[in-house]
Amino acid sequence: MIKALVSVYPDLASVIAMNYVCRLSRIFDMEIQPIFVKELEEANKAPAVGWVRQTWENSLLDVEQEAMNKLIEAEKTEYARLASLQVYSGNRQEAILDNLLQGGYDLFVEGSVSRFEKSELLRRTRSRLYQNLPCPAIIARNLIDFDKVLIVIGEMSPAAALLPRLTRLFAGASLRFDLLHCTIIEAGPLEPVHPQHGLFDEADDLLAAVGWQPENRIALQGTPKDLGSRIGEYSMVATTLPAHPERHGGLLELLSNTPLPVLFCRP
Amino acid sequence: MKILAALDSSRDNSYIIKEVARLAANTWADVTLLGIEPESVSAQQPPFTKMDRRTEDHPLVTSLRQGRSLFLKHFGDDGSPYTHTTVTSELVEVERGLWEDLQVCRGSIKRLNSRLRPGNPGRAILDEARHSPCDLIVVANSSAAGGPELTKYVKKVILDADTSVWMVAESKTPHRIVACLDHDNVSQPSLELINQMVTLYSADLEIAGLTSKDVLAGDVDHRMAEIVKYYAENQIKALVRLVEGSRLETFATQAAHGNLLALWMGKKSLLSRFFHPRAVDKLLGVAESSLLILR
Repeated sequence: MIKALVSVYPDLASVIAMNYVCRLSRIFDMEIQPIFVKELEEANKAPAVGWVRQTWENSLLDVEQEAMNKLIEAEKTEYARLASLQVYSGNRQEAILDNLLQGGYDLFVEGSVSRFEKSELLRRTRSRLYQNLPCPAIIARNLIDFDKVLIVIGEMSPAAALLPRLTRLFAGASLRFDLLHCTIIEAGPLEPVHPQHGLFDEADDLLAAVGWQPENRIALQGTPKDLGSRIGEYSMVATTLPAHPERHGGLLELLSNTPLPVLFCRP
Repeated sequence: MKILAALDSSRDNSYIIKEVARLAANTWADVTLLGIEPESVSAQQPPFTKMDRRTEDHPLVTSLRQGRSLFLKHFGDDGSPYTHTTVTSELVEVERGLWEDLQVCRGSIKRLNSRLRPGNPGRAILDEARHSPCDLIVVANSSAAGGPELTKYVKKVILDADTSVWMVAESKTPHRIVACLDHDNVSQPSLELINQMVTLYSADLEIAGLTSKDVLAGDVDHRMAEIVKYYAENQIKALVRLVEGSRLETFATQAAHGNLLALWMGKKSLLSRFFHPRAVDKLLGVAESSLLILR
């Protein structure tokens, strides 16, 4: 059973995250723990001090907690094994990291809404939370029915770093997937790369050891924009989390050019 | 659904009629085909008078009847909801004090009206829309002679109509419907109209929410969540995106290429401020794009 921690907040991104993880629970055996972290207001924004301020903060928290519970109730499905909402106050990243480590979670899920001209992915993957993740994380960006996954390997996403974590996460489940070996270039046409001898050998060995078999092996070379457009028909893309996102070699740019949920595994 | 389609007598209306027929077939709509005069009526073209009602070759009459014939041809003879089943007698006042007993075809499941409103085309369309309330006005994206700007009457209808307006571009099948909103007053009929467009074109759907200083207003955030879930329940994949208000013009201009741009217009909507007549020209380029204004 996959034990998943889902970050929620009263916003559109959290509706997407909760809805998405409940859809996943139709396919995979999952236990879902929603968590809401209320980040403390800065001192100079509080209406007063002492017990007045505390009362004000508590009442805001109550309102938001009620909104969270309504959101969770609205997204719950008959398949979802949902625990009661956990509520914390404090630094969001620290609270989530502590929970992931102490709770022994297999998966972290949060929502995100794509922005025109800006990539959220670079900001998130550079954060302390993502650079210290003890388990894979899904950034749910749209409500896409779960069907076939694209596993991306290559120089920026080594198979040896990605596949053991992925196969452990979905152990026992029947997962449909394709393997994409991609070479990201700055300019030039999108074109297939004739598979050199050994291009998929390491990945095949790791997958065969656990009885997994890709439906297709694809090798492509292209710009992040073209590669991103090419992979739009999948329901999720799985890749490694860049250790140094600012030197990510176009991988994050590629992922920003797709609307797909992304599953990151820290190497 | 009630559709009002404006047929400009100076143009080939076959593509707009085809799109209206396809939408009507999917929705079983009541349809009014409205013959309108072109903006600049040529000197040789005589004004339409009461006597012209019996004329076979007046351009307005010819255009309207061709349009009607083309619309009905889309449905064929069998099973058309617009086929009349009975012929009745009706007294019609042909001149003041003179009544004629005419044989009139009635009895169709859905209504197909063919009407003429000579005179200023923009006013004609808006008057007809108010006279017989409709859910959707359909006009052609046609540039003025010799220039890339939209004809005045098309702009007038887009800006002044009380109902949704669909401006159809010739021979452009959109790959994606890109629907923008910055307020929470989104009607159920407008959601269903988008639903119909997605089905009609087998297109993808993207919902773009406008932000102000990178923040999405709470009511818009909430409404977008409801919209996304509505389409998910209707088996339509709706992708979401946020667009900063200051980047709207750039985003909309890019989004309009090859796609159908849909704008949910509100009274205090940023989108209506964006919709200055000159901005409409810039947005839609040279007779290239389709546009759907949702009210």
